[in-house]
Amino acid sequence: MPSWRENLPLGLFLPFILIIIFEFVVSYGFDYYKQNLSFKINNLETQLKTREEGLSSKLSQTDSYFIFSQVINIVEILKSKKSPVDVVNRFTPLVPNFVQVQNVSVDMDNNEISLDGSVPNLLSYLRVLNYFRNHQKLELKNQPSPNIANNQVNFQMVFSLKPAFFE
Amino acid sequence: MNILIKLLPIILLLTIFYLFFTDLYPKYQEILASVQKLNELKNKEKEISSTEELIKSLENNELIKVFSEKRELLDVWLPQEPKREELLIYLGTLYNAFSLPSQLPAIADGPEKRFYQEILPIKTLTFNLNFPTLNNYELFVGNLEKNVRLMRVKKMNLNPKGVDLVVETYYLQKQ
Repeated sequence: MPSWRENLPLGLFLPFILIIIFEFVVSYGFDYYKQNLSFKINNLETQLKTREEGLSSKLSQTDSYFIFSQVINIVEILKSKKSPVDVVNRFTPLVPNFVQVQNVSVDMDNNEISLDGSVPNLLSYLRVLNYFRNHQKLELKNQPSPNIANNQVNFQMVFSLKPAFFE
Repeated sequence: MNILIKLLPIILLLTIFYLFFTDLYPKYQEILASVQKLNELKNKEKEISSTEELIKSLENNELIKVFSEKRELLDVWLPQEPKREELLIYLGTLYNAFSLPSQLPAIADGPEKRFYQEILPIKTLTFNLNFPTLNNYELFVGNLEKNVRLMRVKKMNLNPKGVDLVVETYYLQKQ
């Protein structure tokens, strides 16, 4: 009876076995690397915690850092200040004369202006829409559908202010 | 035995996939997460180092010494506390100056703002005001914006009933 060892095609099984051994080696390598990383992370976390506490106490005692922060914040606030009155004054001449303005809203954070107005008919509305769509200083962001009431077309348009608006 | 030998390649293949998906791949994911955490900690270390260097350089800075002498003015522009009562008194005075009935708006805490990572963040207070006509509103808004304590009109709504404003002011707390 032939031995089962003689019947075993090693050439067929050997690659599989080698791959399995390789996987075990890689797994061991991963464990070692993970342990190393955990050690580094724990060390660094402890160091950083100590440094942060030291820094916190130093910050609360150091006047110069607080004054520095105060000055820089004041400068940045002043730089970011733009007057909404200036925006409205620049916007008003851009609105066509035949538009009856009902409401103007300025959002300085989002650099937007919203116009609620009315015109006598749909053709005038289309003229207004076309005019603002191609405007150099304003970008039409949103225009809900207009509504017709009391023989007037009421509409709302929201614009983004382009850099040219402030020139 | 012959059947076992025939099934052995399938068993070995299944073992390979099993080891890969249940052992190697999860360990790989954990390593990636650990490496990411280590990188985050290294970035935090850089931030802390840069703040420590900044504090060191500021201690003997001549410009800071000059600003130190103007401390009271800095505290008026950007106070160290909310000072809500003083703010209400100012608003009451402003309304009186325009012969308007005084309004006591609710002053709410707004979001913290941080312009740069190296400096302390400022805290914001917001409140709503109403100016009942379109006459002189520019002067009213101008007064708000030119107030010694830094203020900014964030939103403005103009309609025939008047002007609605959302105003923001700031303070910088010592930490």
